[in-house]
Amino acid sequence: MAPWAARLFGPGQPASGVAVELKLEHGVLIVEWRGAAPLRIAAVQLSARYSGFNHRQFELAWRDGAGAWACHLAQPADIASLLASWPPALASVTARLSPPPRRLLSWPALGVLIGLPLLLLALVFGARERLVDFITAQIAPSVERQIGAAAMAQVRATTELISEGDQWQALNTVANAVAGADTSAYRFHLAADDGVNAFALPGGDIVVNRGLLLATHNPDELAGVLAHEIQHVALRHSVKGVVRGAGLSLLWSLLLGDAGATVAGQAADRLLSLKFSRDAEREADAAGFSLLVERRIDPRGMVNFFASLAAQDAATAVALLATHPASAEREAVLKARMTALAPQCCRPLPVTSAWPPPN
Amino acid sequence: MSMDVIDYEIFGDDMQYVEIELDPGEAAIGEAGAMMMMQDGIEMDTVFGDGSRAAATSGLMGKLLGAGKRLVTGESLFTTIYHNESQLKRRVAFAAPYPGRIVAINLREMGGTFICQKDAFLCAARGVSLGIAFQRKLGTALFGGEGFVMQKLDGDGLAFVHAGGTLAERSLGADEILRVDTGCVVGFAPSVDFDIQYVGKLKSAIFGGEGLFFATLRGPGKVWLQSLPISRLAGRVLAYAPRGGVGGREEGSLLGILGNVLDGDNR
Repeated sequence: MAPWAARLFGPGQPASGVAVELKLEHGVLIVEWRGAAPLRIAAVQLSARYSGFNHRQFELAWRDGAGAWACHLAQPADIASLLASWPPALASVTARLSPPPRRLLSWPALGVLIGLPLLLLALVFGARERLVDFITAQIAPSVERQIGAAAMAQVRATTELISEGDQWQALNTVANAVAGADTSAYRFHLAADDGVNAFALPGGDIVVNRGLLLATHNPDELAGVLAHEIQHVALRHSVKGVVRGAGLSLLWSLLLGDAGATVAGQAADRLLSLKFSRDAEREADAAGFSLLVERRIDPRGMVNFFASLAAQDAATAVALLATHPASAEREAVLKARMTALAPQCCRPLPVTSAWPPPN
Repeated sequence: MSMDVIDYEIFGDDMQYVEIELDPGEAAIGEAGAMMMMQDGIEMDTVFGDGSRAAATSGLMGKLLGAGKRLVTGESLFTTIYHNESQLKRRVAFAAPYPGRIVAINLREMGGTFICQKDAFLCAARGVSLGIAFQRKLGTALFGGEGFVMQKLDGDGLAFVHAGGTLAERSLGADEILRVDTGCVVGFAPSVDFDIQYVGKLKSAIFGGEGLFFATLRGPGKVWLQSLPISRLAGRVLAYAPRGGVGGREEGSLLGILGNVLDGDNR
């Protein structure tokens, strides 16, 4: 109802406006404000539109010698009543009024908009193992060999490889026994490094540290390690890891997007890939065990070696943060399988020298 | 709604804090985590919702709604109220969370409402209610740099907002238009029309480095702009940050980054 409360903006007035009251009488807009004579503007000079944030406010604007003036009505009830009492003779002023935007989306639509991508992401996440397997299957073995060759070149550049002596002979003998008919698919290297470690590169290069060789108590233990590494190659764990890592970071950036989420995303990413790494180790353990049984090599060597490692790293990090399952955990799983094994399962490996070979 | 009238002082140059003086019985609300220090005699009380008196009398649903609004704006669900329970004037200080400027907004002068970007609010006199203002123009929400959700401060007391970098205050006359880089808008009076505008030339859009759109602010009314949005600062810092991760039991740096990906390793 008139008078309508509004804020007046204009030359010489405070930037955030002055509270005024509006009246419309006989085609004249009367602006009444405290402490000053009312302004009277012929309504035909006015231009009307919805304005302000979200076009929630109704603006009546005009110009005079001093500059541009505007009156803003903020209350929806005031706007409605002003428009209702707008004289038909002045319809030209309000004729081109476009209504304010409605609510952007209804709640169900908003729900679908937010829910659908989340559902999709959940699906992708749920089926990630199968997706990773599928994509890995699409990568040609030649590509894998190229990656492996590049990595191997880096190994050669940083590590001294041994290719003679009793230790090298022993490694080859055991490796041939484990690989069997597939010997040509793998290349075994002995590194002059005293760390107890061995690793497999995609494409079939397997590097065993001298430290690991010396840490084994008999050829069967070395065979156990090699069987494990061979299974990493055969099961294409490296490629899967790369595919998985790339997929995960893509997923995180889709899900979280902005910079603030990156750190959290990376941490979660890291935890998930560690989990993957542990799953891969378990898989390689199980498949390695089967390989040893198939080649009629005593799998007790594998189990014993993990046991001696377990004794060494009794004080290690929490399982969640480890790339490898705790040695004790691996040992327990393998021991359970070993008890089911026939006593006449195995033959000794054809190693003639003393173990471990001194040089 | 009656407001508590508070006196204040802003300290610091580019990493500022605001010290508010509370008379006996007066109170201020602060964003959770913004409090820096308070004198003895000030009691801290954490309430569910936005802590305004309207919310306090509106029952459970009203409180839940208020809290829900805060969740949507990315604020914490709880607001902390600082009462002066002593017989003397007491001071409480709130610090800005990142380099920038604090500005006091007198809501009474603004006509009772101020609209700001969602993490700008720092503290206010009790009685200021924090609401959300949904951006209803799809284009502005997507490309305006402030998103779909903005914060609305209602009341007639003082509110303190914080902006990144240096703060620019501009008074726009009726129909005066200011073009602003997206993301640089801190807040504005509700009489200001916040919109976006296509840069105009494809060449500028692609090679100008300012993106496809400007934000446009059309007067009348006051607007506040920030020279360095925190997201931009964070982006730059992150670009220089070392990439680290949680360490595992792995070979170390034999293969560098490649090694971490490829370590189908040992034992």
